[in-house]
Amino acid sequence: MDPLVAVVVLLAILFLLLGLSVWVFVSLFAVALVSIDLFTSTPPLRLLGNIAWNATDSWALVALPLFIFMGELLLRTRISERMFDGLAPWLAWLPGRLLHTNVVASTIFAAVSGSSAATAATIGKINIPELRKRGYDDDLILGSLAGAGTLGFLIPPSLVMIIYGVLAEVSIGKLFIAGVIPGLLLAGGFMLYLVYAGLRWPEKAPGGDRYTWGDRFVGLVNLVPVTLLILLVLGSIYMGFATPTESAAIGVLGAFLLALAYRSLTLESFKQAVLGSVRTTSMIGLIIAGASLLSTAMGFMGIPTALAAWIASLGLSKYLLVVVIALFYVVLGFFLDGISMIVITLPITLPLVTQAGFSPLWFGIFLVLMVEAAQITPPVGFNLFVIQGVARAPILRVARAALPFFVILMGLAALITVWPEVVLFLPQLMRG
Amino acid sequence: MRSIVRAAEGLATLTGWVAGFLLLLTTGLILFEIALRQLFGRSTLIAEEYSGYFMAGIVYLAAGYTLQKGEHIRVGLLRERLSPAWQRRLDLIAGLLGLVFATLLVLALGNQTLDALHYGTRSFLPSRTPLVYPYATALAGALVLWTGFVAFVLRRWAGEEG
Repeated sequence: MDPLVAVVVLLAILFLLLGLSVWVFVSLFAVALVSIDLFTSTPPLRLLGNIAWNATDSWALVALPLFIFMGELLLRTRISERMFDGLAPWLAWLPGRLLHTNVVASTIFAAVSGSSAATAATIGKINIPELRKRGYDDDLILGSLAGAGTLGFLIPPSLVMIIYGVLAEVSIGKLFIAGVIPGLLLAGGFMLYLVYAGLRWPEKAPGGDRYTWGDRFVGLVNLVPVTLLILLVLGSIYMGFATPTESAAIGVLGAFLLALAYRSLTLESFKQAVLGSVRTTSMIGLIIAGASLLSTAMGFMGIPTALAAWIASLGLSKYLLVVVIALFYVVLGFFLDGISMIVITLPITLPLVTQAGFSPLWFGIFLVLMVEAAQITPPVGFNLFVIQGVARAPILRVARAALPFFVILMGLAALITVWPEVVLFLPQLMRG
Repeated sequence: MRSIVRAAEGLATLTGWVAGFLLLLTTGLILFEIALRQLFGRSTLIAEEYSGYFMAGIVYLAAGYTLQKGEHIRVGLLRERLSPAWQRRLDLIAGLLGLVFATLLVLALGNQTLDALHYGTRSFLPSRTPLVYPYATALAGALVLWTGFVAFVLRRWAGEEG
């Protein structure tokens, strides 16, 4: 079968299975096994055994359960409460006032959390009731939280970057550092929008909170624990003290000690943190294994090469190619969660963009932005689910409120496409 | 049938706990490796290798438990719009497909484990660990996932909704 026809058939079957609400990992394995059996001479069971093992027996991937575990522990501390108290005195003077705490707290928390949903959940738990109590506009509260929560994937550490790094064989340390400037730019973009909203509709961000310099300095004390944790996790990687996986274990220890210090950890909540972590790890691990098998099957069938040749024959400019790929991801993001989206499409899109002259490192960050967009687009968007749960608001309302932040995200994707240096500058400073 | 479902769920919870223990073990092993390196300039020589085994162990041993808790991702767009009766039918199809996959996974990992046992395959790393042990752990997880799908199908068959 022509590889291009094969890819259409395979994707059609895959989306049919997903549409029938077959588990994502089962759908991936099923399509991969059928393809191997029908289109290659490799024994499918032998390949299944090899890949089911090799895709999960990975040192780099060990960072995944550890960062998840760290997030589960932090969710059970009073870290978000402390951050709100610490940041409010410093941000209340800006137009948009305490809405900025959503963005800044998410940015800071993202530096100790690898997940967007965990960031939105942890920050939302405290910020939503605090801001509602003060009479802030609900759309701005929920939208800015949905948008800023996505920073969890862009600012290191990042679960998506770990998965991408393992699948695309890109240095996770470099991916982490590459996310810093885009992450800060995105946070800056969100804050600029909140300033604009605060000036345009002052009634949506009411004043009332007055803080003295004394309050501000007391506030700084509240930020000490999270700052220490950031230094511990990211500092250990970039001081050459630990690998990203090791830094995750250090982060677990730090989060555990913090939870003990806050006296917020009981034996029961610790058990829940451990069991919650292994469930998430198993869920993601099986999807990765399924995607690895599908990717191998596609490779055997010559699909990536044929697709790359076909795209080359179209003579698209590299920017038009990125626009097409971005549109493809935005549409896919309506229906799939970010991690499934990456692992399903990577065997196809990575060869295309690298052939067009983009580096795999750059594409990793571009993909993270696409995943972030997928997190806040309905009907399937994990950040929307989380905020819907925490805020008890309808999902479509949260999605509508997040729309301006989605536009800013896309703006950043355009910016890094035109100026890839935004992504590549910091990694180029790293040795090795 | 009740007892089969109960036994499958008990097994899944048990291996979920074992996966949790492996997570704690991984954390401890890596922290020990860092401490040994920083304080004494030495290495356990097994931290990376065994953490990888534990990672695979967590993924497979917790697979059945994750299924039981409904935390393996599914796209629910169509399902959520159906009546409970049709949801059950859709679940039954999905469950049977899951069962077929789990059977193949058990066979594949079973063959791999038997091969490792038969040929005495060992890791290439300094520990020279016999690979039959880590493979058998993944196989045990796959078996529990298989029983989890059996329980899932039986419950839907008996008319229970998800």
